[in-house]
Amino acid sequence: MLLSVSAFIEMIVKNTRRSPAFRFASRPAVSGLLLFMLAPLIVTNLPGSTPAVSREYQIKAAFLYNFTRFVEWVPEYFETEDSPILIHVLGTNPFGDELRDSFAGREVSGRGFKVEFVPTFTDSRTPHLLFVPAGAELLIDGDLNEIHQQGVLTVGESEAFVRMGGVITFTLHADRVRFFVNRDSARDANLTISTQLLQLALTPR
Amino acid sequence: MTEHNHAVIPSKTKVSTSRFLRASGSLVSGMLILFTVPAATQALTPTSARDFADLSLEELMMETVTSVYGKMV
Repeated sequence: MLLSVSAFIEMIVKNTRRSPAFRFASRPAVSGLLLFMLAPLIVTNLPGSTPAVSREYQIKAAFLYNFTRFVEWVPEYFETEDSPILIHVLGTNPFGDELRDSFAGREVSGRGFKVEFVPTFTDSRTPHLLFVPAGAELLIDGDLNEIHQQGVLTVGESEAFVRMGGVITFTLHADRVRFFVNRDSARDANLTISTQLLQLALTPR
Repeated sequence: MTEHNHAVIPSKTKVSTSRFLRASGSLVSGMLILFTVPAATQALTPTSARDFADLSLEELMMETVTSVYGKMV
């Protein structure tokens, strides 16, 4: 039995070696080219090569940083001239360490950043930017309008958040992260949003 | 007169040696490519939120949430 199995394997190996495809693939140039094509696939599929945070939230974190560059807050909402821009993420943290990392060491108009993760809005001091992940809308104690009255740029990512009147809402459009801007809410929050940001925003239907 | 004992290398062995060298060469070049190409590709592609934050808004809007190899990450 064992002999017949080994003979069978030997036959397959022999025939494979004789095959034109094997000879073609054995050429140094061809094998090098094959490795060249397969290398990225092999490396991206190695264990540990997948980041803990999804690409979507890496991009959204970068958008949050960009929003702070194109939105102006009234100076009264800052304690001092160089007080940091306070970023709060409500409820669950979909960013891992990526949000803190993306803001670390950066400045906008002479202000640094402070990123905090808070269980509820009422539990925290008023931030300048409040990110509300999908599903965390329920954690908002009260009306979004009350929050806007405190000069907060609210950013969400759900239809519920749009209905609540959030200032900026992320959406996925053709596999890309896009966003809506609610100008009325921005006005309520005393925020000045640059024309560049407004031009890139999607128009709600 | 000293008699030298010349070893005759069979032609089959010569061929095997050359094949072995060729195979080793392709293996080494393959390994080089295996390590350098992904590193170079990764250096050019944003892989963290911090990398993405260095992009302009317009560039950021072109980034897909699905990775380049079609694998949802």
